[in-house]
Amino acid sequence: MVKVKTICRNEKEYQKQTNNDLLKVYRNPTKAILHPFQKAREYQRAMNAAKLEKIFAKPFIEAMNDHSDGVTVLAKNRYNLVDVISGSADGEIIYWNMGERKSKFIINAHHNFVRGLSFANNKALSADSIFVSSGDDKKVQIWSLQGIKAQYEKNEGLKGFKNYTPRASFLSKHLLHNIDHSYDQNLFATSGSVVQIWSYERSTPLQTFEWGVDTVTKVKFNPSETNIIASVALDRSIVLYDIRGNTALEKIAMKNRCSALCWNPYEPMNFVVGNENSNVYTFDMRKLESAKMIHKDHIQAVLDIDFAPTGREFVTASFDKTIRIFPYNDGRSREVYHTKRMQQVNAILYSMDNNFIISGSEDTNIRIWKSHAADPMKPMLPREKEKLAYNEKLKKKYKYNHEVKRILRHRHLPKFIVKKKKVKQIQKISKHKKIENIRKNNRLTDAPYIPDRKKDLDTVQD
Amino acid sequence: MLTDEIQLRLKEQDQIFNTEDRGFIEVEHERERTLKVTQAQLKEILPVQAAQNIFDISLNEFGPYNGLDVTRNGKNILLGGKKGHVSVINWKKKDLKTEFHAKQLIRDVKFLQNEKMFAVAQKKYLHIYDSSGIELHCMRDHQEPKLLDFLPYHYLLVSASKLGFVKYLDVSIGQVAAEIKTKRGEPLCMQQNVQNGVICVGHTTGEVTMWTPNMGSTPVVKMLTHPSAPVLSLATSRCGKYMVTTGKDSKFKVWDIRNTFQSVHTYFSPVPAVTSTFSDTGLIGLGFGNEVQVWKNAFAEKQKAPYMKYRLPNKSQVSKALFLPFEDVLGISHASGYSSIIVPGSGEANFDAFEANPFETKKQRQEAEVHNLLQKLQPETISLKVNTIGMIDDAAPDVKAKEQRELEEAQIEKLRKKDRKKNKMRGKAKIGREMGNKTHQVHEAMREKNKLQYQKEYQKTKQEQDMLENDMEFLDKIEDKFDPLESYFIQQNKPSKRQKF
Repeated sequence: MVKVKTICRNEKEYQKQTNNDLLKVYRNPTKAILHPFQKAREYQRAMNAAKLEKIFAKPFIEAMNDHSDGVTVLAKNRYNLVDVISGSADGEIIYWNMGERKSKFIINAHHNFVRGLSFANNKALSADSIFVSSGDDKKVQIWSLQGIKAQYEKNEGLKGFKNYTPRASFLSKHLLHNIDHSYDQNLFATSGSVVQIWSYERSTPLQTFEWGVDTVTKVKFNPSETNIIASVALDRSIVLYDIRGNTALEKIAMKNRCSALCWNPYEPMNFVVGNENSNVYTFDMRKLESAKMIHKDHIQAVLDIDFAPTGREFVTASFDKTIRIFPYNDGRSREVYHTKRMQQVNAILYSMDNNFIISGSEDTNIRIWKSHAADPMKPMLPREKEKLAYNEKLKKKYKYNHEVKRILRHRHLPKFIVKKKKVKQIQKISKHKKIENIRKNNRLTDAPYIPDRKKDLDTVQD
Repeated sequence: MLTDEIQLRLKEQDQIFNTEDRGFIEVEHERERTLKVTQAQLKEILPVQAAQNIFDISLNEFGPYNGLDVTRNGKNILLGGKKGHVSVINWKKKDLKTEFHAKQLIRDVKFLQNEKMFAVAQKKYLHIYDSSGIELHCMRDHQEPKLLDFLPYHYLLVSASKLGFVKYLDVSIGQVAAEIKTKRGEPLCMQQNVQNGVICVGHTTGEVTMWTPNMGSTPVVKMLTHPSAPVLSLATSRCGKYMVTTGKDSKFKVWDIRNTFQSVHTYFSPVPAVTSTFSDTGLIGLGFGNEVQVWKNAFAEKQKAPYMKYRLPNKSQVSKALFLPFEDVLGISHASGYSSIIVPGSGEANFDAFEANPFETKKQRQEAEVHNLLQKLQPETISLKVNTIGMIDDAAPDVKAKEQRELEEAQIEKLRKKDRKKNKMRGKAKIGREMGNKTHQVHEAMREKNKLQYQKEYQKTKQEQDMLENDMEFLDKIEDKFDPLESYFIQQNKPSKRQKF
């Protein structure tokens, strides 16, 4: 007798029993014969993932147009995703509700430019939110949100009521630029022809710092060592102050002026400055003799910088009408945003949930962007999430493949930027050529090798 | 190389996923042979559900059934009778999906990505039909197609014509992806290597050539498989390592097509085999006369006798044999219909539902089609070495630079050649000169000598053609009702559904 067995499948075992069952899927991953062209198909999937990212890259969410003049400054509340305030060149401050994407209060605050705005960094649960503002009219004003709300309710009948009164208003002797509130005390610092430290109660500054320098344009408190202030000035210098002492700590000068400044919240010894030579420099405050990193991609002056709350990325606003997002440890930007109508971007914020970017520009608009252009905004099903995660993995796996890389890296740019970039490249090459020629025909001391990170610095002074 | 750790992991996975076992025949005594086991015996031994897979469909009118194909999940078969009968059957349920008469000679049939579409090589052109038998396309640039194949991952329909062309049609966009002149006359057999998508073609010269769509009219591999005898059929294994060819010299050979392209073993058949096929598990099926043989382990070591044997009823001549995927079944199309026999151990027991699912639902089929279309591979990527994509090119930079330089130089040379003036040699073709030419005279003498033979051959082929045309004349008389298969099923007391359209 012979013994015989054949494959004999019971169809019912392979199908779902009732309509509510999930479909059964039988896999055989170990048999390579059943899976021809596995690598090639995976590559194709990676290409599709890269292309899909480009298809879904729609970063622009909304433009809010309530200002009647160019937006000069923006401030966010660190403990609240909804509160954002903006100041414009006609002296108006607008309080925005980001959840509703609407302006709530329009405040006639200053007679001229609003130069500085800063939240008092109140905890989310505290009853009142305080913010401070400074303007070209040499006024420093302290505002309380509760007070504004009360005034608004009082004047509900009056349409277009703007003349809110601040909680306190101080007149400065010196010209004012920006303003920054301390992270843990009821203090704030103003820049201007001198750096001044103010408290809520005193109408005159507590402290004044001078280094015989020109106007200081930006001051920023260190988020961790809360007594330390960094500042940039019109005479191309970067100065560090300690408000416990009477004099400044350190000063360096760059070849070009710096116009933006931000501390890294997660590595608080590092700060970035935006330069007018279109570069952004990361500095370690303990080691100022050379920059830690140069972030190049803009083609015109960088006007404002804000770090993501995670400290992994920062966003820059530039005179070249674009916004760029840089990883904190990469010399090139990850992303660039621009629109046809957006003019020079004066102020920028990275929202505290790491998902949005808010920009204020010369064309009076405040725009909201996604920080990751292709990320969906809707709540997702688990399978959607898995698919996205898989696509992300594929992109990572094939990121050095030239075809995938080309798709992922390409960004459409306005014509004038493309042209300017080309010119810059030519300039760079010819400069390099020139210095090489000098080196060939002279002593090395005539054209020494200086690393790029030191090249843009002038001599360091203590 | 796989490390021990990976192998261990694969083994573990194997235990979890692969729960079904392969079929087998075991004999008790050494002297007993599996060859003696007949289908009638199997029908008695096996459970009813399995025994149902042994059946015959007799269709005497429109044979021989040259065209036979099965979907990738093994659910449906497609039959194409030479005299125009096309039908799609769910063979397991004996459920007739569609049948129609093409009113033309049919040379080959092929399913496309799933059972919803199939291609038919008809007398003049290539036609594409949908599952209800409606003609979707008539591809007029595929003239006199003879053999068909389909590359499922590239969505390429490959047709070899009687004129010696091999054409790749991208069925997802309907454009010809490549056109190849084989320069070896009418091809006799064609099959793809499933693992790398290379098309193997057998010729009357005894050669087997392998083609990719990106090499122009030069084959990637040329093999003289049967010196001085036409290659009647060829089959490649599912693992892509072996090929079987059968020649008019009554030999069938197993070839290594991975590295050496040398013959592994040579066997003899009593008469030349007209068809050969590989199963999932590496069994080889051969058909000649009215007999079908199945060989086991034919490439691992030289076998003395086949594994199984089967004779068709009524001395019907075999046209094509095909192992059905994921089942222990060999499908045979012959002069008077279709027969299905059981060959234990021929099918892969554990299928992968993401590749081919025998139990797929409508929704699953639709979704799979979309996914496969999205990850369609480009025709240019087909090559003998399948894993080049996704690998690192570890050639040294100067080697790469050299390659680049050579490529550029070749292009420049090509342009130069184009510009070069032709050496016209005026006056060479003058009639007087040509008559006096020695080679010409030799040629003329030969021609004179062969004239009679040529005439005979010509008349023979003409007679054949006339016969065929006479054969086909009755087709015009066919009335509206055309249901040979359905009536057959009704005769067998099997109610079947017929789609109305």
